[in-house]
Amino acid sequence: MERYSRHRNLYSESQFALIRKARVLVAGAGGLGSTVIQLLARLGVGTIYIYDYANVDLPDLNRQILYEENDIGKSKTLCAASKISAINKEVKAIALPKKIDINISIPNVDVVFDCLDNFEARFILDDILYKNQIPFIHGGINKYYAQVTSIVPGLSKTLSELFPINSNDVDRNMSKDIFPPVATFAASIQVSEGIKFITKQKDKMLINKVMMIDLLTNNFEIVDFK
Amino acid sequence: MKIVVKLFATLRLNLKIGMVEIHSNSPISVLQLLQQVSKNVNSDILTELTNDNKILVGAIILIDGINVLHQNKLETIIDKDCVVSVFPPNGGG
Repeated sequence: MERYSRHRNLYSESQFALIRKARVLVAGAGGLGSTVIQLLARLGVGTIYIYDYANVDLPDLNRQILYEENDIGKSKTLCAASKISAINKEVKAIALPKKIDINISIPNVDVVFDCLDNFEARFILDDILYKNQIPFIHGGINKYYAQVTSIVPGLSKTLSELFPINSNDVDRNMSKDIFPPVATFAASIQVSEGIKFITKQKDKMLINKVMMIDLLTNNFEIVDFK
Repeated sequence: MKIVVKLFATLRLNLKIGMVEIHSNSPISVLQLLQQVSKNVNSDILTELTNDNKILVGAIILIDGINVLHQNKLETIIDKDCVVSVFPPNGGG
């Protein structure tokens, strides 16, 4: 237990046991996913499933902190699973190097982290997760900005109720510019939200609220939606 | 009627402001409001939020916290003092 001694006391015995046995899925192992995966491994979450079909490439290295130059060309999920084992052997990592489409099967998990880079896949996942009553911690980033909200079935709207689905312009004009710290910042909030769900602290979560993060002017705002 | 329009993310970056106040003597639609904001800030914010008069995927427009998506979208009428929060898409990961 020495490994967890710097955060173990933040939780009751039963809450910490929930973290240790939690099963989570991280959808997307890029800018957000890299930090989410690493923090979950260090916190001691029991099992981490990782969905991503891409390989590591050079421009990823500015913000995808799980990867190094040696990983270029390799599967992100396989690299991520290997890094998790290197960080914490007590955590089970399962790589799912597949694209998210309507035929995907979702493992039996407690919570899913939305670390995707496109709305098309988000809406597919949102639909499946809501039907299966699995919470979905949404993060999205662009330039210096990010947003995080927690979609909890029964308590909040779905992602597709929050964002319009216009099939003609899904992901149109999506910028590739990302200030690296905004990815790690937003991912940290996502992990915090996921851990709150796992440890039964839903009252403290961003349910029907979106946190807007602006690292250019250091403006952080939580906007309620009804 | 006073409408406070709060702008977020890349709108702030491009416009260098985070809030605009619009005063109107008569009810106006969300589309008209955004056109008025564009005029006031001398920049067409609709290009970051809409395409063919539809709200872009990933963008959110809230009137006092209520998503216009579940009302009449861009044709939603504003007829009283309110805060309109406008979020362009933040969809990267």
